[in-house]
Amino acid sequence: MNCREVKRQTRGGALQSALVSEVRAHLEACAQCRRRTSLDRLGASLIRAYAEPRADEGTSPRSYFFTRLRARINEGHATDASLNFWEAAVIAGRGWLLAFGAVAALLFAASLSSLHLQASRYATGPDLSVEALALPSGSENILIANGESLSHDAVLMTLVPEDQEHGRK
Amino acid sequence: MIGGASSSQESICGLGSWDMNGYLPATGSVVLSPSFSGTERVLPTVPPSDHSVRNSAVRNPADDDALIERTLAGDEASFEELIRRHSRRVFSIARHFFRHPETVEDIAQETFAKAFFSLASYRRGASFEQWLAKICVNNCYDELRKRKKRGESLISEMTEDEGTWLENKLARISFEIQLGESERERAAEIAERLLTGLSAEARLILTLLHAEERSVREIAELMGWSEAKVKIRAFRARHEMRRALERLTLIEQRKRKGREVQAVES
Repeated sequence: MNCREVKRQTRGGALQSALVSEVRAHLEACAQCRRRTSLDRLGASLIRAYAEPRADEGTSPRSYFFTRLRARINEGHATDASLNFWEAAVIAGRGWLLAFGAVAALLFAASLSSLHLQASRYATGPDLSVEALALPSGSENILIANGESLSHDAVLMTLVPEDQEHGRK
Repeated sequence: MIGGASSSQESICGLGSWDMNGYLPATGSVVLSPSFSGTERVLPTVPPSDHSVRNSAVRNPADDDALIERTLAGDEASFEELIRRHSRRVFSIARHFFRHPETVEDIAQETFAKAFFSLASYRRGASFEQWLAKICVNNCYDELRKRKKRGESLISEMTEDEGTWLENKLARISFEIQLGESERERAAEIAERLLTGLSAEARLILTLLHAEERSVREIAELMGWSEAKVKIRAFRARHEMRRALERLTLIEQRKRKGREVQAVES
């Protein structure tokens, strides 16, 4: 039996009786497994000892157990009764409020990014497909992709963002 | 009715009637019978060492269901009977997690108070004791987490005797470490140091496995976890426990060396 097998067999705590001698033989030969198993066994024994009742422990609850239980139940009662409608609604709807807040935050973030996208597109100029921008500046008219014919200056004006245009004015 | 309800029944906090405020139908006032408030009631808080409490408490769920129905209808004596039936088990669970009687009682009270307020949500036909056990274990887990959060520590240094005892136990090649009667108290004190050093989760799992002697499946049902999750957590908890034990023994070894050096120097 190797270390892995011993580890596997001793993991659950209970060991099949047929395997005890094999495991014991391995433990005698392997210091690492021996240490590990001893620590496991000792830990389990300590926890059991902790849970064992002491000899001087009484076998009945203290006399005020029921008085305190009654008071606690009544206190829970009073706390609940003292809540007004909105407090109760907040407590009951805390989960919904959180979910609503999360959705609102997501929507806000989405609208911000959308605005940012539009602004960046605007900064690069209007979305016009100009086929004839390479024409010499002396030309009278420039043919726009949609068949419209504009003067050279008019085309340049459309390429300048509106606010810059206002600023220039 | 337990102890016999009399005309001199006292009401909770002297309110005359117990308005359940939505928890129970307002079909009648709920008052506490003298036996509920009495100081003579004898309820065992300590579990038998062979864990027979869990196994012996198999009752007909229909009996519990009838009592629950009556409690919901406003009959307080029925709730009292439910407590009487199941307090042994609840105290037993709490006692496995905590040693101090005040803490154990607090957990038991919290469990019964929570059960009372959630009684309407209890699924009829299921084991009421199992339902209470779930509440109780969760209360214990909450308490462990609270203590960890507060950084509460009860760790004090081991005495020389305790250190030697621990080392001797570890040195033995024994698959089952048997503790004698005389050793139990010492072992419990060392266990307290060991458990205080563990995470709340590790402590929960190890207590359920070794003190409550629950199987992986039972723990999974109790905690609402998958069996795989329980196995993983048990594996981690054991690892944590081994490390904590190693630390305890290392501290003792260092102290011993220190004492030896001092003795040589002097």
